[in-house]
Amino acid sequence: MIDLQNISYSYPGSRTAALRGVSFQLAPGEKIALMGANGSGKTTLVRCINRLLKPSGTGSVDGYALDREEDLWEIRRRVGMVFQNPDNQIVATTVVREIAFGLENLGLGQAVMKERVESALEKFHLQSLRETSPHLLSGGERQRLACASVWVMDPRYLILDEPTSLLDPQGREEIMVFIDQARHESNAGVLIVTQYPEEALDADRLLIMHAGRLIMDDLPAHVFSHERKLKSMGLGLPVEVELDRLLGSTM
Amino acid sequence: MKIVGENLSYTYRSPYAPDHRALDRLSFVVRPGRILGIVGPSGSGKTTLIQHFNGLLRPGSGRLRVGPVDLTDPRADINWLRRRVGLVFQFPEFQLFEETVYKDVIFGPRNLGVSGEDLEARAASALEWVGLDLQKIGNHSPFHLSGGEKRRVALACILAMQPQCLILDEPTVGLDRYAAQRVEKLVFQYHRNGKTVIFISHDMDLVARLAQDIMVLHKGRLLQYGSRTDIFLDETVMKKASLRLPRTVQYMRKLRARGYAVPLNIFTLEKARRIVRGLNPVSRG
Repeated sequence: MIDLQNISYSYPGSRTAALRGVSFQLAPGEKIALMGANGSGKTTLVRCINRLLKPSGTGSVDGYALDREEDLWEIRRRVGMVFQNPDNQIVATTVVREIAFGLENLGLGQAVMKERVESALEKFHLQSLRETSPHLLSGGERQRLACASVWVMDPRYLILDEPTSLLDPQGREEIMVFIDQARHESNAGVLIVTQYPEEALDADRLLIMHAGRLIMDDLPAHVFSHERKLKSMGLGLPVEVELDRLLGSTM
Repeated sequence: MKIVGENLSYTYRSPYAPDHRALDRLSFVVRPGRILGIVGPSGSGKTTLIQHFNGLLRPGSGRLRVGPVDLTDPRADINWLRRRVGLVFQFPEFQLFEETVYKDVIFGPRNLGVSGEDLEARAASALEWVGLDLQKIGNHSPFHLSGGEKRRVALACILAMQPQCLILDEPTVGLDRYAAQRVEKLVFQYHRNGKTVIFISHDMDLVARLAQDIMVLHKGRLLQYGSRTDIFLDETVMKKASLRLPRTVQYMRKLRARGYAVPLNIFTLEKARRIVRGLNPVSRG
């Protein structure tokens, strides 16, 4: 379980807090969507979960405390992150080395490591690109590589910050399949940040952030019933939900 | 500004990878004063194509004319072209680099030889286009703005060059609904001024709202080019290029399946709402 209690954070030199007293929990196997306008604190929150930023308040991942330095390694192993722009997380010189990069720190045997890397290459359709330099890949291929590097670590939780916004429909579909498999095969907990309300429809819960606060945490259908409130924050409803509602009131 | 391609091809050559033919014999005419959306799967050649339009890339073979400039001619006046064709890359805010918003916005026009009061007037009007006030924001560091504001400043940098043709690569990616709507509005206003606008997007809802014409690329080839109604209602093309239908069109299909006689070429939420409001049991047919 990821458990954050009363998390706040201010960026150095900024007078306004980016996060104000945010609390939420993510259980294994659960899928949570997170929406909010630009600057509402979504990415800041995501960065607090594996302590890329050091917030005030308390938090833990499977009992490992966010504020204990000796727990950090265990937390980062359990929490896999995928960002909007994969360029920010790719470090190695070839696809195969990029996938092996994180594993090398886990102290696994050579044979086990090789097997995991091979299955990641296969799963994300990267076999033919194994010796290619990541910067020669297309946007969709790079995002697949970022996912493969996360998947290979077998994380308990997946945190994805607008992972599909640069992808074509096929690439988007692949990421969604990856997320579902991680949930159903490994019982991973998933938090996905998105600008597209449609991507939140099948989540177990939908969280809405506004000005650094978490102001809604409910079933997506319940959240989308607050049309006015959402629109006042610059958020929209899924097209189908909005038109269905109108159809219901017209008939 | 009219853009004419005839058998335009381009091949990427690298010592580290096999040759890659990114554009394969494209022939097309972009009519001046239109809003054109370029769509297609990743790797279909969209970005390579727009990089030709302001001379960043030159045709490998075939011909390309942008306005009066023949890009096939080695003596083509590329500087003339770059003054008139403004290209906005993905995440253009990463290219902001000056200490203040004002300095960033005047960087381009100053290089064009604009000076003095004209420079300030250009900056003010470019920022006004994107809904920002030079007096308020001019002395701010661009790095302290919000994501949406940064994107708009980056757009203003290009608009300050007063291009005849504005080209945008995924202009609304990463922006929230409100910020994205501002960018969309800007495109419409700019177009109403008689300018040509060309943009790339994977977001079919955005393409449906903005584009008058659509060019579909697939594996470097031109699969289809037509009005948005022609393209979105052409199931063969949509399937081949793995494109998703705009959600409003999807909804109209759903209504049809339920027996309502509604048109399919509905591309904005406002229009879809109007259709739904106008429905009554009688229109079931």
